[in-house]
Amino acid sequence: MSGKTIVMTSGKGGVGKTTATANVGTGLALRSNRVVVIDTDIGLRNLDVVMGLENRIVYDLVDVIEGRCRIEQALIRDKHAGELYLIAAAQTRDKDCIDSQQLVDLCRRLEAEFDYIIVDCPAGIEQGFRNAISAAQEALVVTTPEVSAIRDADRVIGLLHASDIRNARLIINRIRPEMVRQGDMMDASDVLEMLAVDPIGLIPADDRVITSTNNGTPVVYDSQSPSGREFVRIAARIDGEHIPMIDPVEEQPTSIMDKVRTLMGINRKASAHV
Amino acid sequence: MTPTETDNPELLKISGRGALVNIQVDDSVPLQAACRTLREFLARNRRLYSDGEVIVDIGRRLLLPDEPDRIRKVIESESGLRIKEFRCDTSVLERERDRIESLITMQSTTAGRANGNGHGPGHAVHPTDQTDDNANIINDDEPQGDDRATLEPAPRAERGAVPAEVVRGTCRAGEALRFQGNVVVVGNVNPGAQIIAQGDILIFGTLRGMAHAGAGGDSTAVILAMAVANPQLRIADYIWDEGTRRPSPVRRRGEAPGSPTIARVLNRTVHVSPYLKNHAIDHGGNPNER
Repeated sequence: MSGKTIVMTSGKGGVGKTTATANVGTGLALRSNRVVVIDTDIGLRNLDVVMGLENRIVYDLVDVIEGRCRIEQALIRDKHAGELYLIAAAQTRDKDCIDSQQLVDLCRRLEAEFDYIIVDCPAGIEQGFRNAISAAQEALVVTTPEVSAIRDADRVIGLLHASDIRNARLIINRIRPEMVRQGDMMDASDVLEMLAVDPIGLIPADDRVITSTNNGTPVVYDSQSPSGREFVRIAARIDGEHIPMIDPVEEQPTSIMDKVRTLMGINRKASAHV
Repeated sequence: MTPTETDNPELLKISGRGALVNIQVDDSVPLQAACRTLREFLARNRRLYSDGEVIVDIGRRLLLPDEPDRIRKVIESESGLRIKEFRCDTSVLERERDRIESLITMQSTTAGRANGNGHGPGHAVHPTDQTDDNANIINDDEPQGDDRATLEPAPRAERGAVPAEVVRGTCRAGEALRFQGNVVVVGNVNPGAQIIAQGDILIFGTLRGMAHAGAGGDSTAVILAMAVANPQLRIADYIWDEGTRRPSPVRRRGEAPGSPTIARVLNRTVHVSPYLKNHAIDHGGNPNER
């Protein structure tokens, strides 16, 4: 098997990298892929919490790299999805305790066994960032429609290009359709025009993400959640399926009449979006 | 008698009657005056032009996007004529094209930039060249930095003959690109990116970052961009004062992406203005000839 290593990065903190990693990883595993997600935010680990696996950590990334355990011992199997594993970050160390080559070696070995290795990158563009992108063949850049996040995403895309990762694709997170309609938030096309990269997902702001993080169950399991449904589509797009981009702003709020039409099978707008 | 009255034969030449009328507008007078004259003339001769088609010849004048509509409104409100077509002297288009081409010669710097190592022909400095200090994005150790101190910027007349370097693609946050002559950017310059040239800077895209023209001290250098959005503009030692209010990055639906804008130094201050209006029309000429 020859897997693919994908880094999830953003530059700015707090835009949803870890949530996106957990959901994209889960989404890919639910499509019968063998998936590993790696938390490289050493010292500030989060991915285990979002996935609800914090109590199962015995060995972590630094233990593997420093040879205190075998890779298999550090792979924590997910509670829900079948072939999904987490390698957690160490909590008591810092970013400088691993180097890029060590992470490259680890990912090359994992690629022999798994379909996808998703690397959750820390915020910033220092050593932790350089480590995280070193092993990746592809990158997903997460941003929100805010000038500060876009600025950092732009910087990161430039750094990815310089590291020869030219196929970065963009996840625009926390789009608030109502604000966009009122002209109070940049819309996806504005963001894409500026960043000049292809999108892979446009995710509406969604309170259910907070609930799901509290529960340790990724939002892709929640079929009622608009963001969960988009994460499902992102996983499918990564997996090579052609699914048209759906702008949450274009999606009309469903009225009762729309639901009736859908039930009767005559709502073309709704069926086009499925 | 004021020169704007129709009795002045130079201002408007109107020939033909009935089915096809030809209106020639003198291109040396401001469009507003020409429109006023035309309005008065048509109002007085409404009966003669109650029906038919008209060809409007604007001569060597360049029109702003909304100006054909202004002419159309004058004609349609004051007569029964319908505009068949606008005509112009094609030499004006050729002159504009020549001027832009004199700035552009295809000496692409893409190769120097693409590999990100910053030592290509474009004197491109990519931040990854540098050591851990990413805060300072202008690299003073960059080899070309030494040349800069010893090279006097060429006077404008000579620089016109210097080929411009071309940058293709988006200039992103954290990139600082330096040039010893003129530069043409085919793409956007994003917030946090810097374009620094000793000569002119011409941007076929939206300028949202920093552009510094005449960086060697030449205050006759200009910055020209197809659109600007909250840019930082510097020419020689002058810094544009953009006022206090930052424009919102949110574009209203259907709003145009912006219009060509030029920045240059007048009276020791950086002035920013729409490109066509102030140069090609009102002053009828090259912004470089001051």
